[in-house]
Amino acid sequence: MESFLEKVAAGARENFLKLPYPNRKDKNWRFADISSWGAKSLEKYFSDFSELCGSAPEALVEEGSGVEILGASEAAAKYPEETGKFFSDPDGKFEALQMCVPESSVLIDVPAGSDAKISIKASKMDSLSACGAIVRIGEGARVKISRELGSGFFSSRRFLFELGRDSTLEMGTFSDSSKSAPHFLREKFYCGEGSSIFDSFAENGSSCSRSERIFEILGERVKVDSRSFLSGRSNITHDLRTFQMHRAGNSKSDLAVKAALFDESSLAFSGLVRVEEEARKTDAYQSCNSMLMSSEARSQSEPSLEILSNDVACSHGCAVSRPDENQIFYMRSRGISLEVSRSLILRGFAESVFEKFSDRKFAEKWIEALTR
Amino acid sequence: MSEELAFNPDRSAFDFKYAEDYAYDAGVGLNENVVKYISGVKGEDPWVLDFRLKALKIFFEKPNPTHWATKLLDSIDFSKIRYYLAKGAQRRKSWDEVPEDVKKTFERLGVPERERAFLAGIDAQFDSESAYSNMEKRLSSMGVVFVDSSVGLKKYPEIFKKYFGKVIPPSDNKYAALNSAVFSGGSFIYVPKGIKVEQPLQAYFRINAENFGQFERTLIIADEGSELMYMEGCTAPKFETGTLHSAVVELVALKGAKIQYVTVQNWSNNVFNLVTKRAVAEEDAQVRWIDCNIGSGLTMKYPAVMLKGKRAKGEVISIALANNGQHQDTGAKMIHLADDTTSNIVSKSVSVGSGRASYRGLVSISKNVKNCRNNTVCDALLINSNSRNDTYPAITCSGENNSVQHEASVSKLSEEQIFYMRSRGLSEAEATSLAVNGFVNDLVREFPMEYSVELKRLIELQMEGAVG
Repeated sequence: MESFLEKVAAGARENFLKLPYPNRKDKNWRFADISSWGAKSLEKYFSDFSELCGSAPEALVEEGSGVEILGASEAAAKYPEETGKFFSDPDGKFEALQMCVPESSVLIDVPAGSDAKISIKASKMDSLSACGAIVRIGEGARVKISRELGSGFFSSRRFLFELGRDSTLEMGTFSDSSKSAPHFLREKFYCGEGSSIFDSFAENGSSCSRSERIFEILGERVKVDSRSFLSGRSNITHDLRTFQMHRAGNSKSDLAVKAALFDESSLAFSGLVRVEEEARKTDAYQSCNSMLMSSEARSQSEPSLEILSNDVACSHGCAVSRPDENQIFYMRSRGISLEVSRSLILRGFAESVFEKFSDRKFAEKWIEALTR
Repeated sequence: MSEELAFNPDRSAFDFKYAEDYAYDAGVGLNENVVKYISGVKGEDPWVLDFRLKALKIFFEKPNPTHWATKLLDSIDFSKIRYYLAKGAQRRKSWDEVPEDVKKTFERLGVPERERAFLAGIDAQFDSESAYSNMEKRLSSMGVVFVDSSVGLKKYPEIFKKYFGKVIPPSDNKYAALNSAVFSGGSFIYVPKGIKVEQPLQAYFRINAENFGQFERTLIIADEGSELMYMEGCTAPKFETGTLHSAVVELVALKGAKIQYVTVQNWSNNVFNLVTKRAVAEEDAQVRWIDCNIGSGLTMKYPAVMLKGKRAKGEVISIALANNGQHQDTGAKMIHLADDTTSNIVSKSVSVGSGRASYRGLVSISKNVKNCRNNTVCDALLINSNSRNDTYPAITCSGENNSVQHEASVSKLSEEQIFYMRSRGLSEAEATSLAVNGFVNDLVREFPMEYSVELKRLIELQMEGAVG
């Protein structure tokens, strides 16, 4: 009898072969660098999935008792609902890719009321790779997660976070990659009543990335504070799609994206804030600020609002410019070289992303890597 | 013996009259024969017919853009539309057929009786011949050409042919192709070098059923150093049995020229208002679109400026009010193609009842230009709990020392403001109306005075029934 995971894998492979590659006519891929995600560059690897390597992320509990880390089969047996949700209906080709190797997923369960500190690492691999994780945070639990995601060839990663009532998640993520190693990330955060998220997300690397981050605010009194920093080099495109979906009222979300773009790199950002009719007294904010470090760099933004309730305060802002000449002049007139001046401005620009992340050791390490 | 008036002004300059004329009717539905009929009636040169027929082919080939726009577009039945009707052929309606809210608006805005009859479709033609001829003499003396689109192409091809269909080619989108195939009416204007037309030019001067028809085509060329303001539309509702209004407006501002184009649109709620408006601004030129959308069931309009010359400036000031059953899908596009260009977009929208207002914008600054600036501000007000607002800006910025700033906000009316006014004796409806007028006030002031006064009254009228 075919196991649940075998069924998932079979269905996902069928879906993967059926689903089209992204194209510019698809609104969700409008500004993306399609050539990095298209059939031309990847087809030969996807003919029979034999080169697809599934490797579960390394999850380590640094602090906290009662935290369980389960492999995919165990998770399917113990938490069928969550696992079923995680492996249902892929929204696109690259999401289906990770489902083709469901055994590359883990489930991390943080019991109600506990405090935990967890590190998650997905290493660079020299082959096609996929991995995923479901994180269940029980009622009233407080979790700190530090995540390091590396990509050595082509990778597809998926995460699902279920936040129970009044729980808190503080997460810092650093994603890095080798050259010519496009990587795809899709993660969903389901926020129960009274839950809070403090999220710092950094994308470094010399390869094209596509990150889809969806915050589903399902209960009242939810607070989401998410900050992202993307550093682009050579001719890559960082493609970031975010969704702040307010389905219940009296909640707050604040999403800030910053990008420093060097050489001929690009940012393709699309951020949607959607407030349903019943989500009264929602407070939602979104900003995207890009610093063009060269004349060839490019920033493309599409911050969107869809507001169906009138008792809200929602806004977004977007700014694109190069480093402030007055600031550079100030520093240079005090004997600081141009290179160091620009580096200092860049550091100041990036630091706010991690200012709320309590693990200062990781934060410093990542800021250093981003602003090198 | 009766006393004679000491002051006896000559009023004949403003006499209006109705004329009778032959009917031209292309029938319903769209095919090559309809296009040939329209061209034949107008006595057009072969190149114009050729242009129309090519556009028709493009129209049939292009799909409706429902992949990004509303699916409501699929409900337009092109086979049931009358594409050309002129000179007294319009079926005369009776006052009984005019909706009550239209009659009420006329009353509240103080629209003169004769204008009401035309706007309501009771009278087929409303020809302000005398007023137009006086103005025409003044303009001619300055060398300004202000004619109908057909006259422009026939009598002045050396002026208009160069730019006709170049700013907005038929292949631009499906509705530009439709307009290019069946256009009629609209204004063709040329202002010579250095001439500053002080009095605003108005479409009103040449009102007739054709000019207020569905497929006007406007082309304005401001030669070097010239200036003009053009105004079209009116705050009074235009009750229309036709369902589609698809106009094309092309503006060309040559070196140092300034064009201001003011539109107030208040079509009746059964109309699809799908308009393509674009301007080209050459070196040191300025183009300003001042746009107010209050009527129609669905409006899709995104005035654009291509900033082609150095130091060119583009601006869009937009007000949209969406009431029950309306969707105002408006916005602006600024394309920076030269150094030192600047653009500014200010958009305010109000959604009342189940109305939906959407802002769709595009700001593009390419890597080949430098020292360009854009600033965009979009503010939206949602009055009722079932009102809706969307904002979809697309911003692309590259190149040396270019910068873009964009901000948007959505909220409801301030409860403190409403409480303050109610505690001073105003009703909730009056307080809401005042607050909304205050919200749009700084943009309404940009409109010529006669429009801004009527706009405020119209907004008050729209707010009635929105509260309580």
